[in-house]
Amino acid sequence: MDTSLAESFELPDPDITDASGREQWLAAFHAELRRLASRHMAHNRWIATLGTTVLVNESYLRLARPSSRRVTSRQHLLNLASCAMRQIICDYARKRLRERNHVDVDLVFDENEEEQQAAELEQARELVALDEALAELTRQDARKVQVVECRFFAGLSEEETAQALSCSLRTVQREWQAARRWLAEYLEN
Amino acid sequence: MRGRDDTFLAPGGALRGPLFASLYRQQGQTRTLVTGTLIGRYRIEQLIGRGGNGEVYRASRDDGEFSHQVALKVIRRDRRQAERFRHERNVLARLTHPGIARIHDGGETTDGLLWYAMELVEGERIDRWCQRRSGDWRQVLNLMRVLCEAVHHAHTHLVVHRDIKPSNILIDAHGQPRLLDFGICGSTDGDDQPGSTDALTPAFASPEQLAGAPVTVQSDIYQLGRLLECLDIVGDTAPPWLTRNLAAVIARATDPLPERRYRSVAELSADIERVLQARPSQARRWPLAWHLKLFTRRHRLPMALATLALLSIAGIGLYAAQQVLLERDRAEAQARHASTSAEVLASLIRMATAEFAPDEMQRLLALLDRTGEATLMRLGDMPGQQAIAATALIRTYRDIDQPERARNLGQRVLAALDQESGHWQEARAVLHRDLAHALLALGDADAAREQHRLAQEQLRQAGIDPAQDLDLQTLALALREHAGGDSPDVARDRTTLITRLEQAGRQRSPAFAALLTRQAHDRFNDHDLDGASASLDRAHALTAQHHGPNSRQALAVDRLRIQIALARGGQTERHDSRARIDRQADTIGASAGAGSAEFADVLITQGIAACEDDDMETGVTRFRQAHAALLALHGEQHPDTARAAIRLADGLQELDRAEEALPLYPAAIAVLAQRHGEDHLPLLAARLQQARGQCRLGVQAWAAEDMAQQRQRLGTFMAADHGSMVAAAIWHSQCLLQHGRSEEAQAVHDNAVAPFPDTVLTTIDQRRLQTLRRELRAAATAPALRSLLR
Repeated sequence: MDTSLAESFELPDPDITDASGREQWLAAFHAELRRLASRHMAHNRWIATLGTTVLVNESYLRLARPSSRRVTSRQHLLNLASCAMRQIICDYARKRLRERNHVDVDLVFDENEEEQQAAELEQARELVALDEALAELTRQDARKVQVVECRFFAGLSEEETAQALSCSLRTVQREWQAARRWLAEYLEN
Repeated sequence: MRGRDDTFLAPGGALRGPLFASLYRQQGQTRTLVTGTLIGRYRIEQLIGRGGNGEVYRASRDDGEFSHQVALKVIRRDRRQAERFRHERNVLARLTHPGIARIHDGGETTDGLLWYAMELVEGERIDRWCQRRSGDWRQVLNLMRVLCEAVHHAHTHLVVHRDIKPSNILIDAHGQPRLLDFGICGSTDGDDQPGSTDALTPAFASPEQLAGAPVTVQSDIYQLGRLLECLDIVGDTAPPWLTRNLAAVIARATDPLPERRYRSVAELSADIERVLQARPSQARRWPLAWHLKLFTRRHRLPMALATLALLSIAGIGLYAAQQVLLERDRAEAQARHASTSAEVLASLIRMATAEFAPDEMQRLLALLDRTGEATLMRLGDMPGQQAIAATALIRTYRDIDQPERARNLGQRVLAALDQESGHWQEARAVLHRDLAHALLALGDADAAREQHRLAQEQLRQAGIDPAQDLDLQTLALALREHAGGDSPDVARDRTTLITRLEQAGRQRSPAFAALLTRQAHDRFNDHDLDGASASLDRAHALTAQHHGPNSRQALAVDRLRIQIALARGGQTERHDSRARIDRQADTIGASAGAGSAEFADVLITQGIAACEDDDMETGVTRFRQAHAALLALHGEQHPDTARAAIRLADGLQELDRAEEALPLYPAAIAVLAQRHGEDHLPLLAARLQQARGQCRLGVQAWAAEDMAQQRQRLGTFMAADHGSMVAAAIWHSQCLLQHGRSEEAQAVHDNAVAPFPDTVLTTIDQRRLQTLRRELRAAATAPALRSLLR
């Protein structure tokens, strides 16, 4: 892999607060992920394998190369990336649900494709519901939401999550279980 | 995700599943093109589909004043797929066939996007299209032939489609099939690299495709066979000869071994053509009897007539002829169940005429006339046989709505028989009976009654009790129907007769179907919708079989079904019914013409359907059209014209246009009275409506008394809780109220309206009832108010 990819990619300040700066960083992060994914795709038709491992072990670590001069810590990167993943995925889910209204179902040419799209839309609906539930949970307990972002959206391990959030492994385990219980109950109603 | 099980919010869950995959598949390779993007000379309008190897957009080309829309297919730039895409483009460019979506243009954008523009086919998938037309196997088979031609065209250009399936075939607005998506097609030389099965549709893939073996034209033949199979052409209504013939074709096309299938699509197409023409397909060897059966199927008319001519002219014994017929066409239930030789003949001719176009009908009539003459000439030699042959002809005339011919022939044969020395009472009785039916159809009830009497007399002379002759009973009932209208005892006797005919195993004649239809009408009028449906279900198949699915009789059955659905109806049922009747109108308009009696019938049903649907305006328009058509066709004196006039007038009254309605009643009432006598239900209803209009306009001082009288007479035919009786009472009460007789109005309401539930009324009458009650309340309180204020 050439290094220019990572070099062109800069992480923002750890304590970045203004909205436009954050937005810019997200766009750059996403573009980077896309590039990495397409590289991966060249060798593998089926993207299903492009999951946790790839993202954490290849892209994240590549992003965290020292050559990206403003990356100060791996912790900071994981934290930001998890948050970004949630936003990217949920935005995409919303977009798919919107887009659906513009596609003439009768003109989708491929039957497998039709089934595929139905499954995608189903997952999109679930994710949008989850995103809304997380917005509610943020008001009560922001830490639980961060744990969910790390574990569910970014696919980090418990240890990585603890590292990203600067807390103990035990806390991550406890918060993760509690968040899942809360979300399950919330979504059921 | 929703459950509380362990899989809920699994770590990394958002990174798995189809959505995430598509996020990177789509965004990692081709982004959906934004509306307005310019590709070549085409402007992207909307994404309309994602295929296995790209997206398809609706796009338009704008050349100043000339603008046209295309389907624009683009592909991501992956070397292997790009090659395939160029291939697809070249392949399509080679093909010019109306059944294949044409390619207009293609190219590569500066940023490396491959694209081609092809004809935009807006249509419906073939399977859904066929589903909506279930039962119309001819149309579907013709469609398959066009499709075969398209595939054959591709094959002759060395292109195998390899992915023929319902979602790749659209039927356009003109009913033409279009084959889409040559996306994975290869060359016919069969040297495609095996193993590229990923883009296949398993349900339609041929065994060799699934096995990864080289794919040839045989694979397309297989898929066409599968398509034929899954379109489910053979519904419940398809005749058995079709089912067997078609099943053989499908089996041959989808044989697991490519070398045992048809050798070319042209062969398959030819066999589909054979199925359409009722010839034995070459898909398998058929036994000789099957060839013979299909032969008679194909040549039903000449065969029947030849047999008839044989009988009447060469004078072969009837028994022998019947044996010949049974031998030739065992499967025809008609012949098997026919009880007399004449009926065998009549049913044969009937089958021949069931699906006739009007011009063929003229030919048939000429042939029948000639045979009739021949029969008469030979009568002296073999009176018995000739009489039976003549009976068959008379019955045929009757079945094809030619009562005049039936009457003339009947009278001539009877006159000729009178000069014979033999007795022939039974033959005479049959002739008298059929003559009576013909006369009745011509409206000459007195002459028909006389013939009925003569038939009874002949039977008695032959030592047969007329009461035991069910055909004669059917005639007697028809005579009573004609005279007395729909009285309850006629309905009861009809039910008895139906039972007796069933017990005698005579439930297959067209006369029986007609009885069932009448029974359904009785039950419908009695608000017994389930009973009416049951009768109609039985009548339906029988009628379609005897007279053909588009015959006047079959359509009448269908119309009553629609009326039942309307009466049952929720909103959707009504809507469906209206759609059905509109389709029927199209069919008949096309086959019989807009000026025909059949079309007038449909117009009337359309009108009734619209009225039931509370769309009185449309209803009145339809009635007006029907009335005009019947007037031109039969003149004012015909009962059908009179009935249409009454419907039109009744409808106008509902629209508060009594002044237009009133002039229509007198002539129509006179016609019905002359034909049916005073005790005819529609006649009473018409008089009631007339009085109602007169009352409304205030042109007749005694209109209220008139209504009281008509209601009373109506009461002798109908129970007091019948919807029409309650509606009549509402009208009467309104009329009285209008004349300021509010106490009498209240009394009519209390006695004849209040005791019965609103549900017997139509929506319009329910609304009217509400108005009436309001007015009655106002009328009752007004004097009290006045005295209070005084």
